[in-house]
Amino acid sequence: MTAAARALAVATLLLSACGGAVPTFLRATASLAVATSGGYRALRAYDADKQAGIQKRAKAGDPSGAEAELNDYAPKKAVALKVLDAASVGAEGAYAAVPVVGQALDAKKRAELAAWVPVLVKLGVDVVQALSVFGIKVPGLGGGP
Amino acid sequence: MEIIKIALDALGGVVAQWINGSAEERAELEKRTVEAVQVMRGERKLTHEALAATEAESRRVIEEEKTKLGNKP
Repeated sequence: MTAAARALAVATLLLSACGGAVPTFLRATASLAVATSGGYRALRAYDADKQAGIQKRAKAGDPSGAEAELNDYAPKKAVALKVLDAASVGAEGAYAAVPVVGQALDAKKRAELAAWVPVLVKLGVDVVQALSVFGIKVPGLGGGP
Repeated sequence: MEIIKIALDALGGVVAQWINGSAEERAELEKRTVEAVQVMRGERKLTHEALAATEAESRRVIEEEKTKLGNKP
């Protein structure tokens, strides 16, 4: 288990001990959404620098080298973006699972919410791992600022 | 018996509040979660657009520079 996974698991346990099932679930969902937003912003910033470097290389007289660099980077970027998209879809799905105020929280619903928690944790860990390929640390996850 | 019933009702209320959270806490958390999800949707859209644009620009620059080099005597 990575440090990020451990941190998320501990945070989830602490949150579970501090409040009820629905508030805990809402906090976990909001945390993933915030971390995913941070991941998107960080990837955009990284990409802007990377593409600027590639364009500079091409203009400096090495377009073939720049093209090779771009062709190496593009699939890695696509993978990171896909992981972020999966996390955002997961956060939206989790939010949709939150019972409306007044809705009975029966055993079935509680089990549904409980099943979401490891999914949210995994998505958060996936985001951290996908962005670490570029040396990006996600704020709030994996030791980012 | 009446005291036990009152105590059980109170306990039931505490348990229900623990599960659902207080109304104020729940409303605040819902608000924060909705905001977080909305911001995330915006960032997703922005990122897809930005990344597509930067890659297209890089490929355009590369092709332009290749053409320039190819046209040199």
